[in-house]
Amino acid sequence: MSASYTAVGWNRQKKIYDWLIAGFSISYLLIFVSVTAIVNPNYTFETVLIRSTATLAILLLHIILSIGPLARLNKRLLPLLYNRRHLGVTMFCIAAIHSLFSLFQFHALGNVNPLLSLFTSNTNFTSLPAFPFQLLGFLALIIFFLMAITSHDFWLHNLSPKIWKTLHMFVYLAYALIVMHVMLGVIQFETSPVFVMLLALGAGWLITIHLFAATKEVKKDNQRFDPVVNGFVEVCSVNDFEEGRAKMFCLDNERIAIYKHENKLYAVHNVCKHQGGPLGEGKIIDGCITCPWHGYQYLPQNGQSPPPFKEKVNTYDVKVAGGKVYVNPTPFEEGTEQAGAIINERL
Amino acid sequence: MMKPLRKRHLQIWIALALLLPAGIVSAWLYVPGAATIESLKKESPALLPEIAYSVEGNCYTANLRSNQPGTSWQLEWKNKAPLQVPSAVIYRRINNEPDITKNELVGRIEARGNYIFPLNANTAGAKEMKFFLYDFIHQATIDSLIFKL
Repeated sequence: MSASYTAVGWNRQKKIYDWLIAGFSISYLLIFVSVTAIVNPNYTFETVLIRSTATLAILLLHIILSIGPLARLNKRLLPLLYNRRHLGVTMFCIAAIHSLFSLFQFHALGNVNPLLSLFTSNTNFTSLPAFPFQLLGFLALIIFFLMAITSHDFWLHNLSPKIWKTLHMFVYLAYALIVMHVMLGVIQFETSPVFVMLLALGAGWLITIHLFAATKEVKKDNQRFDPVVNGFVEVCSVNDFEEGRAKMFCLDNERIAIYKHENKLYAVHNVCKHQGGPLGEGKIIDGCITCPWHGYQYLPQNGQSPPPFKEKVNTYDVKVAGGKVYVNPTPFEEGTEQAGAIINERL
Repeated sequence: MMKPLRKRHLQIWIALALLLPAGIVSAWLYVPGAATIESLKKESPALLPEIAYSVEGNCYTANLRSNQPGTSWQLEWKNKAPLQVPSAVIYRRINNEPDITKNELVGRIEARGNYIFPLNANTAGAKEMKFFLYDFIHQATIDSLIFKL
């Protein structure tokens, strides 16, 4: 969380994370080039570079797409989510190197403009094995480019979280394009079952964890509660709470996060104003509810970000009676002060 | 994440769970059969002894090799200078098939290097063997070679 825009919001953790990404990427490329030089010395350097960057970009894309559902399934992986942007930009840069060298090697040696050649050299759109697979990769690269240049709070703020999130969900389309780029491209001529198996394994892994995490979330959203009594809904027992952490309940079509803080319960709207992160999956740091996605903070008493920030979320009336916790699902105005419900430890 | 967004994620991944396997399997089924065997074959350590016929191109030498009784055949390909295309495939004409890609796929060559490709030994009654060097990226025939038998 920052009061002004900076090009890259580095801190110690992010620097360590970025060094790890750079170290892994460089090591992977060096190993790939070295092994190819030994096993198949006839390959040109350009060919090896195209193949090494392609495989690295696909590997990074799988890691990036795994982080979201894994972080939802296991909170210890949330730091990966917090740093995912840098991994995404790295993946785009590597994919761009692959694309530039491919364009040079396959389309720049003739007398036609390479970009024109890319679009006109193969127009077999009705044939599956002869399909112009390079165009699929090019379209995916355009999506990654748009995502990379907008991976900054400046664009998030100016595009609005809704448009920004919609744009970034095109990553799933890009992933499908990449899978078919590989299947209709290199697999058609460089066929070893190993490549297909690896790609199918990657796709299967992503489909499984995304569906598993999404199904779990849908179950949570569809949880039924006892009917409203005097405007309040019974949600759980006071003993279910851990200090500084929250429980989430989907009432009135959206989730409410109830936090335990200094022996009181506070209820706030679960959706962070920054990027729609789940506030209930965060924790209280320095007396503030801290979003697990990008560290945006809100005071539990009033749902307001501490000065100089101006973000505010709705608060809710919460009470404790007979060891049970009750919430009124009708929200107060954003930033409305609430006293909180005192927990009687003897219960 | 908001509830509608969670729902959209689920819908997208249900769609991908159906489309991705379908796309992978469809593309896999269309992989040319011979390519799975021939294009990954290493250079054969045992060259057949007889050079039956030879063709000299500007950038390459192609030798049609056989054993003594003429029951085994190989195509030996030597790149003398780097090809103008980074990688290409060689097809052997079968039954005057006009669509090059429906002929017998012999193997793949890169811009540099020497290659040995075993050939289907069925040459009985054939008067010639015709091969095409094909650029699969631009879908264009680069050269054709004819060995008179």
